[in-house]
Amino acid sequence: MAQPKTKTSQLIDEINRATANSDLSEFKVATLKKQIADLRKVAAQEANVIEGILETQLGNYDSMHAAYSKALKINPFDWFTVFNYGVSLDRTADWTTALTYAQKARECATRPEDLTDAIALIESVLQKLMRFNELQRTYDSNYEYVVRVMDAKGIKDEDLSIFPEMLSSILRERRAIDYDHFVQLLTEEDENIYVGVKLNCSAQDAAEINDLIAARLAELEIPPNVDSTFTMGVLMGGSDRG
Amino acid sequence: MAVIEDDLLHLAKDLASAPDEVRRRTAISRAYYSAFLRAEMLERHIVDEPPSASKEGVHAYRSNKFTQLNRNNHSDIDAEVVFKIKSVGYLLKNLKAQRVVADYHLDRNISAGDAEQSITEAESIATKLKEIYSALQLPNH
Repeated sequence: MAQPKTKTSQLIDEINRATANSDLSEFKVATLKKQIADLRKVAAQEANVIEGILETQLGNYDSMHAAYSKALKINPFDWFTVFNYGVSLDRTADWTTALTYAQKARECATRPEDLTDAIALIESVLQKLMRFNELQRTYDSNYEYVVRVMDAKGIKDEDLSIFPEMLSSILRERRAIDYDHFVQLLTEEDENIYVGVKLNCSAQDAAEINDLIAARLAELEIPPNVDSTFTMGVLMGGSDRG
Repeated sequence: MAVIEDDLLHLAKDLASAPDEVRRRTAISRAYYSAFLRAEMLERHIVDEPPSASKEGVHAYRSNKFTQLNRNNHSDIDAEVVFKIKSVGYLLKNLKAQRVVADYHLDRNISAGDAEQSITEAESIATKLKEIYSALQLPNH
């Protein structure tokens, strides 16, 4: 587990030890929480972080999120806080926001291992966002339309798995993880649904990635009903935030 | 006076560097049409079953015809060329999506970079089509 940069109290060792020994009993947790409450009186930020660590170990991700939210308000640029706030969002399935904080953690990272952790979090969240269902549900207003078209054309969710998997793999190859947001349903003409990723990259890079996508798709035998309905690609970032 | 696809692409390049968005939007639209029209001869050359989409217009028809090209029905076309034709279909679809935003989604911002991306992709399609036309011994554009 990554450690905070700030010098922390023996509480962290105690939590880690208890976790390692599977000793997070009710009594132990109550004791730790009492100690955290005492610490809060003199060092609120450290208490927030330690509370976050404890809740993470307990698997209470909503509480973990709440603890790191408090910590983030006090110190919004501390790598450990930003990173774990991102992790808490990941654990609570708010992947769009998790990605934002994973990217912030990357910006805050000063040590190579922190950078590695931040990139791993970005990639992990990206994978989840790429899952088509989640992607569609992010855009509720479009979701019903997409489902209607899919139903009408006999397209199942699993028929679409090729798109995010392929796109994800290309983005990883290109290290193009610095993406802005998804763009979806740019066109309803011909019941064609465009699902894309807006990347923070140059126009040339975006065009090259689309070239790669086209080449990969051309190698496949995509069922005609899927092929004629869905288009996937990337757009360079910086033009549209809506 | 008649114009050719390259004229549209040149116009797109001129418009792309303009400081105002309306010209950048037009640049994207012209870039797409340069690619779409350049592919017309290829569409006519390929005799195939109509693609599957039910309500498609001429634009979707063309790109779907390329992407759904069945190698088994075209033993006369080299596998590498079939692959290239399918790639062009996907690139056309992608470029069309950009054009739809440029032409219809006025609430979205269009940057110079967006126009540049469309032009780069139109050029890529042009290069691939040139290779395809050459391989199929069709008049080159």
